[in-house]
Amino acid sequence: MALSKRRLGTTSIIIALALVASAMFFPGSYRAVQGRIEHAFFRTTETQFVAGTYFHISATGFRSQAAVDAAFAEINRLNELWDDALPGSDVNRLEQQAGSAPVRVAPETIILFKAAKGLSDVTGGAFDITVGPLVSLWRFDHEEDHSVWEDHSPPDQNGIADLLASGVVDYRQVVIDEEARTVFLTQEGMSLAVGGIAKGMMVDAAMDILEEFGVGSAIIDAGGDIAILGTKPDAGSWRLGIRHPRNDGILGVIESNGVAIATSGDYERHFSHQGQRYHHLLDPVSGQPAAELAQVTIYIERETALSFWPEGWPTALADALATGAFIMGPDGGMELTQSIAGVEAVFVTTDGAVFLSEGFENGTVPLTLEDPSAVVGGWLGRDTGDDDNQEEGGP
Amino acid sequence: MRKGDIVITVFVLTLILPLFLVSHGPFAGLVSAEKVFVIETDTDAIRIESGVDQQVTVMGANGPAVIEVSGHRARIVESLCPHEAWHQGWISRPGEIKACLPNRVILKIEGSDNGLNLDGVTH
Repeated sequence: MALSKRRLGTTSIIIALALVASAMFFPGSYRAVQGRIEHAFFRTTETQFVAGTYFHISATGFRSQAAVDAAFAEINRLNELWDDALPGSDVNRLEQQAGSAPVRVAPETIILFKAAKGLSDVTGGAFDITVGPLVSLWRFDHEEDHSVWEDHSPPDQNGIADLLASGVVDYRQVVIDEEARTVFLTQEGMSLAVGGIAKGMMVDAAMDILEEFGVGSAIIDAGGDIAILGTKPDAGSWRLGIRHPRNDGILGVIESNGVAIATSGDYERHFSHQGQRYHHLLDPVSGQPAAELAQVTIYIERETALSFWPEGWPTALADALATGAFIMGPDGGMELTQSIAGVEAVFVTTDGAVFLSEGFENGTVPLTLEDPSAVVGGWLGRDTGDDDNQEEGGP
Repeated sequence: MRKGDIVITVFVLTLILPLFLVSHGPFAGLVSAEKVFVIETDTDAIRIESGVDQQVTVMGANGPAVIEVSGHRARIVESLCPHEAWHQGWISRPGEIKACLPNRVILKIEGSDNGLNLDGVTH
């Protein structure tokens, strides 16, 4: 049935009115409505246990199921390369050949080690993937052995000194030959703890795959390391909480898009002995748990990571920076994070004082703290030299 | 209005209605559901509505785990975890997660809670 000109005009008016009405009634833009439809009908959420932690992916898009399946396949593939407990994995073979011979590894492993060594350089050795022997000495690598946790005590101090003197904890003893695609641990007895960067890299690799599948809105949470892609399905900002290091609550909430966030805290793997807390974030120089901080949270914009590493890896960068800054302490750690554009940080000391980086302090990056009075200092106040301001000030 | 105009109007409204339902109607619930506690293991995913106090026992990788829901919050009461500090404590906001990783048990909150929602919690 052909429409007459008059009917065509009426139809056009009806459609226009309907569109105007829908724009008035629906919250947000049509992108939001489209996002809600996709979220309702094309959202895939899945959790898997990998690499000793959980990976939770929530993705919204027309091919989200295929994207999430492919992302988990990649996470598991990388874990098979980097799980030191898995016979035949790159990391396992490197440890077996420590002090003997270089080992040919996957291209991804070369990337991992280059990134790790780069972070070690940047943090002055505070972040060091060769702390494996130290972790073993403190028995933090026997997490599933109940007998360890029932009677967990610090190792003999002479044992720590001897271990450090042996030179097995030193990232400079990791020799990478990109051309031959080999890595060599030069000292016998060297072992690796790559979890502080590998988990983040798995997240970044998974996020790249989600993007390749056309997913426009996603969140990946890997044991508290979080990466987000795009805006929320309803076009709003993502709300990311920071755990409080000493209670069940939330320290604060960041509202942002397209970022990676990672936290290192002294509460994750720890034990108490004779009234003192000992945690797994070990200083490679002293051999002791880093003492000054309870928690470091690193926020990094995805685009920023590209300026730090050509390949990106924002979550790996946030993950490693959180560990490195924690061990460096509030002064050195904050100075480091503020030297990298686009990186923001929240430091919590063992006595509960909160320190904020410049972007959080001046509100450039929205951070709502549950208890703003806990903030006792920040990067902006560093040059004042005013002790009173340090104690009473804060944004 | 002629009969044809009415048909076209109904047709256009039919197109618009799904948008309204997703935005305000029952399908909005798919996006912003009531707060739900979700317990996940390797083999199970159990969903418990908020406000129904109960204890649930699930089988983790190494043994049973007991999860308690009390009002608007929930916690892992017992699980074969080497160190109870890993999973102890209550969670109450959508987006929060507690996990006993060695036993491969996760407790998390999904849904909506009057603007207190979080999309994730870094820890």
